[in-house]
Amino acid sequence: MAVTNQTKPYQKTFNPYLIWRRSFGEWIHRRIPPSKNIELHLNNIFIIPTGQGLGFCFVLFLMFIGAINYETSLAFGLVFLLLGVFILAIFYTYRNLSGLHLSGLTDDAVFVGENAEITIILNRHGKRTYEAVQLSFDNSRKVVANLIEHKEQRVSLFVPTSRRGHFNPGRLRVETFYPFGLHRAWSLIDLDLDCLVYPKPVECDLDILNSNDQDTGKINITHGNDDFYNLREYQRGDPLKHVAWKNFARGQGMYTKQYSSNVDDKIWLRWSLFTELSEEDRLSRLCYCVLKLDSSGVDYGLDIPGCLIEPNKGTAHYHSILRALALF
Amino acid sequence: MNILNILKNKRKNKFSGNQKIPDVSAYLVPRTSLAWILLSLVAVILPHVSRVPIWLVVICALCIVGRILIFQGRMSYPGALIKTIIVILILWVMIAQYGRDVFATESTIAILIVAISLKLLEMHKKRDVIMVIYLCYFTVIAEFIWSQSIPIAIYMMACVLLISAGLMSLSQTEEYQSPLRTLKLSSLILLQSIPLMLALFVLFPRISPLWSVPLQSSSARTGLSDSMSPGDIGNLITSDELAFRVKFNGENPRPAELYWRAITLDRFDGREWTRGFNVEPQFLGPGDRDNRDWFQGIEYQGNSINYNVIMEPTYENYIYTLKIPQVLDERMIMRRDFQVDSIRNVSQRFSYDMRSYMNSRLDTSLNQRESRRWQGLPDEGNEQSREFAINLREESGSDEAFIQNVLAYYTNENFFYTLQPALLAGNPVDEFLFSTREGFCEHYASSFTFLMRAVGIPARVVTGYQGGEYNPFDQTLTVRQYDAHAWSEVWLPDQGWIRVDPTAAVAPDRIELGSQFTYQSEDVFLEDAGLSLLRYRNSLFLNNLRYRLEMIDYSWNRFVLNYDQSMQFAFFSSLFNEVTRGKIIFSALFFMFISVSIMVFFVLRKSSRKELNPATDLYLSYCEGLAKQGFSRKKGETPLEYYERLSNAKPKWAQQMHEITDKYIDLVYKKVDQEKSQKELKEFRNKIRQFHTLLY
Repeated sequence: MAVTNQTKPYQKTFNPYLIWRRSFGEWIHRRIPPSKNIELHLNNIFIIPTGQGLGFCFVLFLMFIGAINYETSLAFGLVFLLLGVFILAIFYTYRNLSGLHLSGLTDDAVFVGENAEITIILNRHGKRTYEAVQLSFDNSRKVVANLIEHKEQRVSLFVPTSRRGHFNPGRLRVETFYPFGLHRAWSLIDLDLDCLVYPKPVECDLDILNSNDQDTGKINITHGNDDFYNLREYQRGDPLKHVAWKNFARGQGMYTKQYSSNVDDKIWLRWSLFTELSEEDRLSRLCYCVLKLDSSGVDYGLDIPGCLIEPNKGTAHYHSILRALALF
Repeated sequence: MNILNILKNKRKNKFSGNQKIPDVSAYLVPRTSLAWILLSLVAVILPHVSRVPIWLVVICALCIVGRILIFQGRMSYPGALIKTIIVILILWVMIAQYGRDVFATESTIAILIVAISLKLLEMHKKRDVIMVIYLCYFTVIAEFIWSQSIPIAIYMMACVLLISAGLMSLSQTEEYQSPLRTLKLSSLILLQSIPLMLALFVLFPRISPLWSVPLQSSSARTGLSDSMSPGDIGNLITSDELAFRVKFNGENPRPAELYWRAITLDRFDGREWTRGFNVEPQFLGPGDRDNRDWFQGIEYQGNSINYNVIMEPTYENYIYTLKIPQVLDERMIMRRDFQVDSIRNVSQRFSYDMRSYMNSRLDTSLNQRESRRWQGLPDEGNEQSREFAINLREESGSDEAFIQNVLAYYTNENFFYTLQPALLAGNPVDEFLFSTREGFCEHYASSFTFLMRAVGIPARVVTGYQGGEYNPFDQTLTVRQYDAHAWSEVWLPDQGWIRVDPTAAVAPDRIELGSQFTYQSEDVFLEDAGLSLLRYRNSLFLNNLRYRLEMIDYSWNRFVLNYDQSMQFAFFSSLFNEVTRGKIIFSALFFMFISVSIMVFFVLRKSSRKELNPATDLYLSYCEGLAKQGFSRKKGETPLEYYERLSNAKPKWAQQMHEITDKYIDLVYKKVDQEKSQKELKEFRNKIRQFHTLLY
């Protein structure tokens, strides 16, 4: 697949960061395997003091020095009390994630450059409430979820896509600093999300479809379905609005008006159409053609190496062709 | 173009040019968080108000108002120039106000308070907000330096709760903030950390101070000072402040016997008694007692009494003892004149154990140098008194008789004991003895000692406290500032130093009944005491209440505020036969582990049953009640089926069961608005309750 092909060259160069990234990725994959529905618990929640928490400890230390120097018992008491708060906050922060159920939904497909919308569904069972849980992907904005009164909440995250093919937004970072911001509890979960990314459509001259097509040299689909082309005998199934009613009224029998786009609706989108372009550019242009052809209502087929789709039309066909382009 | 349009455009331009565009990147403190922070700031600064200069309070108030204006968008953050000017100005005023004491604790706290207030005006980032919150915690500690009383402790706990709520609100989502919930959770967390706090408080090793801290600038304090001129002690009488508390081991001595020595005064300049420089700093701690020959002059004999004293801070070194003290403690020394001093300045409440031999003799012999020290008088002044003394001595024949005659002079010559004596000028002793004849204990002690020295009897003035009040509930003796007293000690060959209290000759009630009864009629007595419960000593109820409160306060001081290494050691000794470091560490870890486990249990325990509709809860309790009667609900049986089965078996309950089942189904399956359902739930609860009573 394209993805593995592109990462391969990096393996040879020594880059500690990448090595670390990769081994971390492998480790977390073993530790928290992808799943459609994940419950956060002891094994997949990490927790560490924040900078603010360390600051808190520093302040406690200063207060402790003060307590020693002024020999004030209550100051000792307060320092110990706040130390207790610091320790308790670890468990409270952990509790603010533990037992949370998460699952995700994605858009079926987007084009490269668009944001994929990913809907995360958070559920809680039992009495425990969850407050200020932040959700984010590596390159999305943070979204905050609160499950206080409701049992379920859905939040949407938008992740930009940059490459065609299967798109996995990466691991979802679920984190919380609640209640005091002294600790950060987080988890990196893979909700087994998959979104198909179609190539980015790039505008091109659609005449190319005519000139290069041997079967139907003269159609000009760019003129749309309004251009009258000629009449042929009515066949059952022809749309009634295309019947030449004037001719019929004159008693010349039933004829169907044929429009330019209806002349021959079998267009092949061939790999050879854009010979001078690179692979991705070809796919982008083919994608553009597909969009245009779909709205014009002609039958079109795809003929690219390793994939042949007979001409047809309709939403399912449209998506199967784009899918083929995306996964090329 | 139309003129109107031009004008419009101009105005538009002008408007958009002048309008301040709000800085989008700046962190906006959520409304509720800001409210919490300002509230806790005010709460935390409030107890300090009386100790800081008034302009500082004004600055705090201005900063708080400024912050609110910034929040409302009516003011922008002050610029760098303004900030610098403000800071320089404040520093300048600070130095002017405190002078050299800028680094003393008092002024440091003042600076801390100003710093927090100013920080309010530059809370641009979340980090700044956090800093303000942490500084608030620090200010709480600062308050404890001055006062650790129970009310202050409770008040400060409330402050800590507010501050913690503020901290919590910062990590909440703004739209979901609910002050009540925040307050509830923070108080729960604080409560849950109490076990750990207790464990650490008891077990954590106490370290002696790392460096000494200058505590206070020259603000006035009540208490004895190391000089005495007429009127000094009289000033103390107006105060009901606590001086110290004593707990005797064994029988309580009578208050009349209790002369608490604090300061021995040897120099007289004709008006003022002071402590001379030549008081040798002889250490007479536990290990040093045989090295001093003068120590041989003390004959410890008779019964000893042991007692524990908790004294309030005096910011001086003297400590209170009964005659003749035996120093048991490394932290104090006894001086040549039997004044006992603490090695460190008593700037904190100080607890010590002491043993005294009240019937011993002191200094049976006195060498030349010593006696000269106790005989010194100024070369001239108070001539009339000197003459009077020499004549009386000649008449008397012996020193003992002379002392008796002088005391008789006080008794017979219409001397008057009062807290508001006439002012003395010129020759104070002469004036007091021969013209005004009204005075307070220091007048008597001073004139008596003067007369003794005038005829060459070694004599000195001792200031301290006399008497005190026993608490009937816990038998502690409370000594207050109004118990302050001054008396004399004279040296007689073979007898050593003996105590003579001329006040007793003039006003025997002062000694026998205590200061309160003597001074009751005087206007100035308790003048500074405000609404003290002491004013209402005539009401039995209020007086008992006062005793109770004092008892609690005493335990608080003794076991909480003065918890130290020795008490820690005593605690461990009560746990183990033999205390070793390993055992201490082990038990400390053990207790910490236990307390943390308790906390964790409470935080992480899973609710054993799922959250149910309250109506379901009630309905299940109804089913349980029936199950006890032998009619348990079958698995999968609906409420209606259950009812039908039971109504056949138990027709006499059918009516109630029908109502309950109906109501339950209504409550669970019918959609009604919140208010109405609450009401119906109440009815349902009552029905179930009635049914339960029916069952039994």
